[in-house]
Amino acid sequence: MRLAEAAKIVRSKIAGPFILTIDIFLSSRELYEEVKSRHLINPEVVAAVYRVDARLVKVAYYDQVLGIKVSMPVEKPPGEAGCRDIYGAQQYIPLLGLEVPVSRARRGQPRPQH
Amino acid sequence: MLKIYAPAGHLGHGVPRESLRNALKLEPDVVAIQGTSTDYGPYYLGANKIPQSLAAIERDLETLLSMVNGIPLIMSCAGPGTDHTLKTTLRLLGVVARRLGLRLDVYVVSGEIEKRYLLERLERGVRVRRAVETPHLSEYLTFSDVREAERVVGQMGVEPIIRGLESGADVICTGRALDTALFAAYPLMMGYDKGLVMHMSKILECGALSAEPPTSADGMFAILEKDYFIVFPTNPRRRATVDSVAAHSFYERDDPTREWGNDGYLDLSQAVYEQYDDRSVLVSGARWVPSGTYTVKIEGAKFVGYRAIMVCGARDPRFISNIDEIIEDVRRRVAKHLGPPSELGYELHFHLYGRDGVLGPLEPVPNLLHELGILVEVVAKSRSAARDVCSYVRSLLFHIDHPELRGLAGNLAFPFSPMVLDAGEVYTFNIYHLLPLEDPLEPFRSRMLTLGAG
Repeated sequence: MRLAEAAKIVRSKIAGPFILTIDIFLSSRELYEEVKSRHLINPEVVAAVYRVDARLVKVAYYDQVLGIKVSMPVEKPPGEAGCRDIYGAQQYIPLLGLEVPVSRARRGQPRPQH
Repeated sequence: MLKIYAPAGHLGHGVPRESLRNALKLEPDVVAIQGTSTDYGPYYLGANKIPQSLAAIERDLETLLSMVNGIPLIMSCAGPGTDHTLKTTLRLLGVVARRLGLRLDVYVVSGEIEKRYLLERLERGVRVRRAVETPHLSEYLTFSDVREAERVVGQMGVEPIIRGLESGADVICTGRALDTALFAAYPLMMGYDKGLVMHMSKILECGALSAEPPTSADGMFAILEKDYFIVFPTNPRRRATVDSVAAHSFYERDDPTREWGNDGYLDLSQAVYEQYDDRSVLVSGARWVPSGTYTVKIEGAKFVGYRAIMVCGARDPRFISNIDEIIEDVRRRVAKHLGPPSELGYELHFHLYGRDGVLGPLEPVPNLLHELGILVEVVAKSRSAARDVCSYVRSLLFHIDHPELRGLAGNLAFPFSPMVLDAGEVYTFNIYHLLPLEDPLEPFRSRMLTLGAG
């Protein structure tokens, strides 16, 4: 299942000028519990998508809102020559295509958003 | 019980009158709104400018001053929160007050930190560590960081704002401030639990962004009690839900359970959100963990050069399908005729909208479409060098001879004359550090002003 189907909301924004932060809210508690318990979203898979060093990626799970917080350094700080996204507001897009290998039984409950 | 209203998420985003009217019927003790940020990038701090429309700020001030009476109005102003942008906002405040026939006592706190003060602190051996681990900042603030910065602002905490409240002013206008401090000052002054107060402030600071449907151009109301608080939007077309409020604690933070302030952090790991009624959420459980030290985040921007840009469109399928080769050829020719980037001190970037202008190498579907928007960006040490390089790129790109091209008159459509535009100065954040303070009031100068009708 792609993250675009597994998540209710995926959004990105800078947290200060040097950190990009991505919020993922999964569409059901079952899905969230599986993703969390099997660490399906982890620094390594995110680092592969964004082509950064996995040691620079932080991933935190937040049970109350079925949320996953991903943080990493911005590619270029805002305002610098060649910066493409001052607010980082479009930087969640590459993550939408991430394959989240949840078990077969869960595949019937997608909520496509994008 | 204590009541606070955030009439919008940011000054200049729009304060809806109807929502404010509903809020005022509930008799809030204080109304507060944030107006400073670094989100817009370093240019505004470096160039000393307000990114929002001044007309929009003036309209929001008019809405607030015409309706909020007899309770303190607290706001941070504006944009980067420098002395100049604060003064601009005070001028607008004066204009509005005179128009409304009001006479206002305004307590003003500067958010700008004098460079001389910072240099003195460094001379005395104070270590000022960077707020974020990044190669873009010195690990510890240096003398040259301070000297190179155009100006420096600091995110003041609640302490200077509490002074303003104690002064009995009608309006408290600050320069750069911690957003949460604007909302936390009054409840902390009244002795409410700091964990709850900071959590409530964190939700209020973005206005109705924590409601459904979310927006920063509408208001959020909070009722604070001894061991919980209730939040709801005063616009009946929006509601607060457990999801919308809890999810907001995620927003713009890199750690959802810890929010650092000037003297500790807010621990949200035990926070509980309950649907209180159809439109309100009851929140409890946040804990404040003091750090035992006091630091303010200081921000500085330094000048790095000038930017020139060119915007154009390409429609020829042969030009579009060969764009990478063409750009490489342009780069080669610019380097050959004007000099290589390293020697001449310029950076040349092509933003290809329609292919990967937004995501660059991360674009998952870098398809070439039937037309391509091209933004050429040149940053150089001088205005003329930026313009020269950009102008030369323009003529090369327009007339380039590629074996597959058949257009003879030119490869690009330009919407404007002039085709190369001066995009002004370029700055970068060179200070984003934590300045330790023994007295939280120390670097923030304050004064009382009387504005409006005489």
